[in-house]
Amino acid sequence: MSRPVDAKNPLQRLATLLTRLPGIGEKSALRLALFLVRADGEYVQALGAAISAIHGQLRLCSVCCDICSDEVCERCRDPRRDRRLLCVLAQPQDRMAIERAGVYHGLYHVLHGVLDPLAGIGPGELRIEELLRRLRADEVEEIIVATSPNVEGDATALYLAKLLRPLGVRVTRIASGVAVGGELEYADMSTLSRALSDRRAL
Amino acid sequence: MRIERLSVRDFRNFEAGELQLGRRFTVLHGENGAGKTNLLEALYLVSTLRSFRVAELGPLVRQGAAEARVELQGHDPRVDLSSNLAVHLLRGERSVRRLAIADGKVIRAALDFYGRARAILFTPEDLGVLRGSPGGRRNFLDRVLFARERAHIADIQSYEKLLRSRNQVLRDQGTNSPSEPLLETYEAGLAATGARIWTRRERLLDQLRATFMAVFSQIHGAERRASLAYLTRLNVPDEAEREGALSDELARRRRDDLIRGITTVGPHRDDLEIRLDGHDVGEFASQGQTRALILAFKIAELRAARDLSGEPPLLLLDDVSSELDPQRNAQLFQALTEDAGQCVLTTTAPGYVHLGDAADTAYVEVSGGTLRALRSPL
Repeated sequence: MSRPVDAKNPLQRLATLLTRLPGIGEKSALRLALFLVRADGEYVQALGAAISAIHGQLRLCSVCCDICSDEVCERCRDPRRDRRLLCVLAQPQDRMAIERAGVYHGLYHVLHGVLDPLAGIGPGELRIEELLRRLRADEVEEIIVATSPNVEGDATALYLAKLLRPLGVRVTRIASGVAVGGELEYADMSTLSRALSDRRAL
Repeated sequence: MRIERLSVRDFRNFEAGELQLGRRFTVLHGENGAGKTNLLEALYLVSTLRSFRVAELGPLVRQGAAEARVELQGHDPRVDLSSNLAVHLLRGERSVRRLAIADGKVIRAALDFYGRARAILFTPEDLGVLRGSPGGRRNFLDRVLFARERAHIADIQSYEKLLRSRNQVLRDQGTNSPSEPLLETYEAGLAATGARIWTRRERLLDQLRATFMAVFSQIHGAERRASLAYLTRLNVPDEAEREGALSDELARRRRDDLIRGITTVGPHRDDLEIRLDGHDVGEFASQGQTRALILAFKIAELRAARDLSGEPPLLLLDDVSSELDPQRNAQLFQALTEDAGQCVLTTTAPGYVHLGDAADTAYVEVSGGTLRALRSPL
């Protein structure tokens, strides 16, 4: 039950706006708003400015569709990256996770979603046209599909493979199975089953 | 686990009750509405963490009570020690929280609790399965498989999602340009999971068939022959070829499926077929024959589970003997007596029960939420 919001009360107005953020409920929103009331003015000004800037200054890279602040993102511009490898991901945060690991030095492509006809997301809703355009121009030799290993992620990977293989490019899928450093006995049944069926020779 | 005692507190119509189970048979008798089936529900709850009557567990907590408790005291033959299993249902603001406790320790993952006191259930509702829809019969088979193979649950869930996705794509084709690769994508997933589901169901029936036929003729007499078959549009005896066959058939039917907007082949269209002398049971079998067929299936399931784990599951029979004639009823109890497991059954008429007053049988009278142990059958 939400009480009627007093629009003239700045604290309540801020708290109400904050509840729209993912993972923030009414109590958390009020706590955050009260924190900002007590925080020093400089920080609050900077936070406000950062929030205002986010829409005006951020856009999608015209090559890989990742979120960036320029026409072409820094990874697509970087001449040291391996342009023969292209890793396809569902969301910008997936790209950030792989980048943080620091083990991959090829290029990226962000689809901004996965195929899910039940949610009205077909190929036309994903950045697949942009991906095909890159293949015509670039020197890509292998596409690594790194969508999550669930029904939607697997379908997206399979669909891309069907679409891309006829173009003469090698399409691979990231492996899935038992977590590295984890204990086998704690792995769930589906993971173990996938790990066994996708086993490989030593 | 061999169960020695069932205790309930604030469960359905029981404020507090304790039931000493017979080493083999426990006969619960009493009038309709006395609470006999509630006790089977309590046993089933500890076995599966579910109810066979309601989806949400709220109604299991006695009206006005905040918490229901069910506890089983038994003997675990694997370690030759006494063992205690309990389920507490805590009424919350919106839903009921379920707490599973094994030997005093809270077990958080439901999967780790299942299988400690395995049970097979027969209720009069099962009789509707033979006359009902093919979907009901597929569920009937899948529930047996869920108890045996956890992977089957995951496959059924994936299959349903893939199926709804392909159907959605088929319907979207009217407005968009046709996308063969998109349909092929879902067909590949449907063929792979579908073949696994198909094979598990066929293997289950192959395993149950001989016992099913033997037990049916034992209960009903040898003059009629029962048969058990898995009906599927594709005839592919070789398990390894099923995925390819499903995939080809899905592709072949794509044009028809586009017009109808549904997927017309796969394990979601298959059926379990039980026949009597080659006749369709839904049309020809009497109430008594139907009952004998379902009971034969349940006893076959019980024996298969015993062969698999070395320990027979608990058999729960709700209102078991009301439609069999006296001779067939006696033959049913003959069949039951041959199976070494424990069995709890309910009846309004203890005269139907042919177990004698053997030391391994407990007779309990249930009335208005109270329990009274009797020395011998009425």
